[in-house]
Amino acid sequence: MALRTNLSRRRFLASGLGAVAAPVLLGKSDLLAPSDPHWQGVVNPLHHPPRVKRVIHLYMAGGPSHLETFDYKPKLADLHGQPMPASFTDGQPIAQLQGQQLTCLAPQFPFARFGQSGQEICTRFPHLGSIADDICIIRSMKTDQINHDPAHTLFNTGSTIPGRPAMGSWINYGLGSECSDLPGFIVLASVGKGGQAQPIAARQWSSGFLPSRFQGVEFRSKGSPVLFVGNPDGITRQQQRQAVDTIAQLNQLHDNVVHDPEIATRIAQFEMAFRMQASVPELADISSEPRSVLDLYGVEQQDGSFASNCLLARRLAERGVRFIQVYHRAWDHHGAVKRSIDITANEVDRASAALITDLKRRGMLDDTLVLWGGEFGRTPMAQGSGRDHHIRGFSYFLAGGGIRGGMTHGATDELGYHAVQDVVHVRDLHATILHLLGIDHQRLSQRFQGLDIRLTGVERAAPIRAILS
Amino acid sequence: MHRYFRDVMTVGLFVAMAPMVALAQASHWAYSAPKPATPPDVQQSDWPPGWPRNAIDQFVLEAMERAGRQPAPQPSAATVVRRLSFDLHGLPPTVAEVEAFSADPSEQAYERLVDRLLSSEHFAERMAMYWLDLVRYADTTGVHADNPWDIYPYRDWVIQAFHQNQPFDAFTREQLAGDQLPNATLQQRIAAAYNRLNLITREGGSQPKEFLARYMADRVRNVSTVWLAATVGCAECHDHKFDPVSTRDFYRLGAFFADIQQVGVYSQGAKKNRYFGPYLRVPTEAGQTLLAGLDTRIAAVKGMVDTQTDELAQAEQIWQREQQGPPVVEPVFGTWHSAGPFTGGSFGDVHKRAFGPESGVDLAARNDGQPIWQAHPEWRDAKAHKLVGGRTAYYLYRTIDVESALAMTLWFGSDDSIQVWLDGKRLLNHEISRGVAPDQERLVVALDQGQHQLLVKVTNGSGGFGFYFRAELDLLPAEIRTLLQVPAKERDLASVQSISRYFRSITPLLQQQRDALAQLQQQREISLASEPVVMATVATKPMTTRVLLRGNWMDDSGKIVEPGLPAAFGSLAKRQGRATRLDLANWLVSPDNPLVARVFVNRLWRLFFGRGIVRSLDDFGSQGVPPTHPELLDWLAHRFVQSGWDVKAMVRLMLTSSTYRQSSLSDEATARQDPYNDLFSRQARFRHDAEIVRDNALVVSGLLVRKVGGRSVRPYQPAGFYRHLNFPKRKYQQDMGENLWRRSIYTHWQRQYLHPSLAAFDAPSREQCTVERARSNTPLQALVLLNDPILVEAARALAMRMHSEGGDEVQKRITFAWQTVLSRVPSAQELDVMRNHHQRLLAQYSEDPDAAKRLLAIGKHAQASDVAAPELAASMGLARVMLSLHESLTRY
Repeated sequence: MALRTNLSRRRFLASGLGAVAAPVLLGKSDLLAPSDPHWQGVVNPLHHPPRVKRVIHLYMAGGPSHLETFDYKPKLADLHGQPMPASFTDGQPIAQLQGQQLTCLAPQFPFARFGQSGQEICTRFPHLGSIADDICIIRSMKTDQINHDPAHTLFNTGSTIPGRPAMGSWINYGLGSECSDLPGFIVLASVGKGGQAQPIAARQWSSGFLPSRFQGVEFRSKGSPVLFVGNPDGITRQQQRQAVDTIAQLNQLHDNVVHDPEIATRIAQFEMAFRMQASVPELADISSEPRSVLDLYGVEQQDGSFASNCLLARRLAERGVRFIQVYHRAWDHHGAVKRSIDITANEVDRASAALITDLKRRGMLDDTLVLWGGEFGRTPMAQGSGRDHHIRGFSYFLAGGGIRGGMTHGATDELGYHAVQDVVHVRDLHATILHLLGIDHQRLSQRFQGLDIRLTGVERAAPIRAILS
Repeated sequence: MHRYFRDVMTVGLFVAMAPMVALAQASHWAYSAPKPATPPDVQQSDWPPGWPRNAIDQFVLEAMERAGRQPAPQPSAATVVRRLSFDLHGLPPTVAEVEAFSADPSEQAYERLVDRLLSSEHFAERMAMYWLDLVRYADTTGVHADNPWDIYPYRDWVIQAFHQNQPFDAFTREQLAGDQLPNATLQQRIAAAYNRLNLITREGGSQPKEFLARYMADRVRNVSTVWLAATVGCAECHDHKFDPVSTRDFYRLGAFFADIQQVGVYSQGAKKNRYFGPYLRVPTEAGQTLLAGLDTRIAAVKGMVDTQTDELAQAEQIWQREQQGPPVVEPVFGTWHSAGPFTGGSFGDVHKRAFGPESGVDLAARNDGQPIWQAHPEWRDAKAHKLVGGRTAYYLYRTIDVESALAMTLWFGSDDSIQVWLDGKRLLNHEISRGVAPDQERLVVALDQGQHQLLVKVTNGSGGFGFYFRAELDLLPAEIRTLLQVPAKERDLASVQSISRYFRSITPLLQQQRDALAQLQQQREISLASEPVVMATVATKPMTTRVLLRGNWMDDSGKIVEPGLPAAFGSLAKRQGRATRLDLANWLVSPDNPLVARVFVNRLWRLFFGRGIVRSLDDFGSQGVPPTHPELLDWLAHRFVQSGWDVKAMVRLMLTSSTYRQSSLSDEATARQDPYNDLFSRQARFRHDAEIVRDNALVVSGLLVRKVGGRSVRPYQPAGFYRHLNFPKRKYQQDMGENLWRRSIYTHWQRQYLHPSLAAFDAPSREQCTVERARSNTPLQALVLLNDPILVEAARALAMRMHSEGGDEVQKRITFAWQTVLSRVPSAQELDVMRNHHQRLLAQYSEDPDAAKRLLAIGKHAQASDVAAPELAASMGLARVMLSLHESLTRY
């Protein structure tokens, strides 16, 4: 009987694959040939009606402390300075506190209840408190990786083996793009002042074994917003237009001889590049926003801050960009967690809330999914005055289409160590994101080096039904 | 660690699968040795002329015959030359090469062309480009801080191995186990750096045990993908679902690499970024020349010190007499005084600039009412004294009162650089960055009766700042004193020489020569230290290797395993002791290995035909795609082994076939009936690899610097591209001069932030084995082609060629550009389009010559030209178009 179960499962996998990605058995270079510039996605039609069209991930890189944001643990205050009970920590992976005396560190800020829903949020984040009824807090997140680089890689690609596509790449591969003059996956990053800025690898937005057209494109705050988007000095927009036209004419003449569908694509991509040359600087210029909006986010100009990136994220979302990731890189609070949270909250709180408020005012929150959180959380144990990396329980919040606002899902134990109730693994979050976009996470896969790779991997993963509206 | 199937699959299922696996193993095509098939007779008599040329064609024709199809016609001579040139060199042909072959497209001329291309080092560079993708060669560690490491000598070894046509079996053996070969040569040990190409971490808080497990898994994945096209990586956490590879097999393969000296988490701290050892020194020709030069100069200066002159002889006699006089009276040192801090521009500037005391010290002098000099009665000799300040200098001063003439040794230490004056004469000048330590510098001084003035200047670059001093009076070593006590006439030759040698080491008369010698010796040390090193594979006591249950590194309950082959592939011959990497390598290239030859010839085939005979280049297992021409694949593999694993011979065989020499154009019917060209009844057309896109532009513009090998280079790159790197923060140090125009294979390969133009054209990060790059077609590629400074610069250089070589008419220049870039003349229509574009540009730039000048100013390459700026800028506009054409990016 066991054998039969196994075979039927395999058959299911194989057929699922065939339906999703027809070219799966071919070499990689054929994967998307001819490469249609108006990629409609492999999940076409969608597996089920979608709730959202796009995703904005406010990515708190470095690992925010759940104990100073969304997960209040008064018991930890009682045990402040005392040894962490070994029953919590025995046999658990530990990062920098390895081999050291483990003592409890009390929550560094009071919490309060916000909104009609009365969600419990750290008082250091009053703006997030003001949108408490719009957000769903998950307090039972779990990951497998305890160091930044591998944990980011797992969070973004579902695996720690390099070379896997990032979720933004998967989503664009699955759904295609909604705009013709911008890439479908855009990354923005800012450095804060409250913690050491851990490095971020471009691997985190790589398309891995998927073609590079699905790669995340970084929008930079200094220099050209997109690499090589500016004309060389001495070439006007009109001259660039003429160059692109001339190239197109010559390519067309060549196509008459060689009949190659790639040439039509080449012509279309030059055209899109030319449009990007105008649309990107226009988009990056937030000075055209009304004063009321600038005030809402608390920004004056595009200065590379998290706040200006949040505003930019909204502008990108408006233009149909499918997946937008906004990194804030200063959440690695090994020391002085109180002071660091204080600084970081100033940089993040208002703008994060502003983005959700702004989307809501424009009616866009209904078809946008906003995620807020990092690659892991931080220990209930002290590392001096700070906290070490922690993977067994941490918090996230979600807002937007299909998400029940004003609710808290899951819980950690009384010291905030282990997620114990309604545990949500990173891959469950992945499954949820795909689900909201109309994709069954088990049916979006691609064969690579002998494996049918999925964002959610092969371990059990499921959308978090309880938080869906 | 990923843990596939933890909840879904149960152990019971795997047990149940075992019989299926056995079945798959027995019948799967790739697991039995290649059969020496006989090339089939090809029945049909009306094949096009020139078919079949060799056995490849017989196999291919036979399949076409069965399918009722015909091969494609031969392409034009120009296409043939371009194809060969791009396939073998990754570079375009010259106009002369195209013309020569067009004039004589005979069989002999074709073969001569192939042989000439094969004999060039550019062929080796082209092959290495692909091999480096496979073995994931890069210039950085790949994880977290992504620090640079020293490994490029391995890349150069790969190039030379292909150039010298090293047999593939030796090529394999040396990479996996060059260090274990008997009497391993330096080159063989460099080859073994293959084993150090895995990603490594320095991230704080990482667990060594976890990362050691990762390094092992990384190596197993690589060796099994590169040589076996086996998806052994699947078995890290569970037995392979489809292929006969168990988890135990995975760890047994891993155990072969357990002897490599390494650590799990590399630490910061050691000097000069060289903390990823062990290292192997790799002397370069240039470095050895430099060292030899220094040695000659050192010998010359030593000769000067040793040469006797009347003056020295006389001085020595006087000195000898002095030594026999009454015992020396100790000199009296005055209190130390300091003046400072003095600030200026750069470190070097502060070090060099005279702030005043050099020309005389007045301890009572005041500046703005404040005394310039502070007394330091608390400073004791032979201790380091702390100074305070950033990029600043301090002067330190004291007097020395001498009652009767004496010689003395003065010892100094400083953080950072130091200069010393005695009685206004500078005796020491050492610009250096270092921490303060005792006795870093030594001066021997002869002091006459009277007061002497000692002035020291210490300059700090940043960080610590300090100073150290002590004096040694009785400098006459005991043995010299003893020798001097013997009356001069009674001394033997050895004593005379010893005394003289000693005198020469202290006499002020030779101070200059001694300083020069010290400086030369220091230079020698620096030169020696800057000779390249390569991360070395050093065998040590093997770590224990356990099966990690579900890949979990924290679980120690798995069985300990010894190195061994996956059971389904047989076993190594019985031998004494533990199996080694060399045993693994020998098994891979043993004639009965079913996979290695097939895998490699299939990948060569892909390079020259655009796709493999087995399409899944990375998977020869049961889930891969079976070969379209199994007999051909076997025949090639068998032939490859029989030839002694001769790579160039195999390439030559493929390239001299008629199958290779087909047109890549396809009519609609053929494209529909055989969309993936399973019959190889036409050639392939595909976009150039990233490196070739750039190298092509460098060649046609005349910018390419054809230097082979050497440290990786840093061409133009957008500012701020590395700003998300940290520990340390990174600023891209762009190269100057010829390194801006080297072939792209030499571009610094930063795994986490690969050069954006290479990445835009699908060059992989090389964090893992890439068997097959994607060939995408994106707007970012268009942006690179239109706006990347290297392409803009190439367009200018090409425009300059259009004027200097093309002729004085627009039409001639356009024709020159087409021949140079596309190896053909433009059609009338194409010429019209170009002329129109030129006319517009010329009008625009004549209106705005300043814009023309700005455009022409892009790039570092020499810009002098007699052509008027608007004219040249208009030609540059044409050149830009040429470099962006689909045809320029495509191999036909």
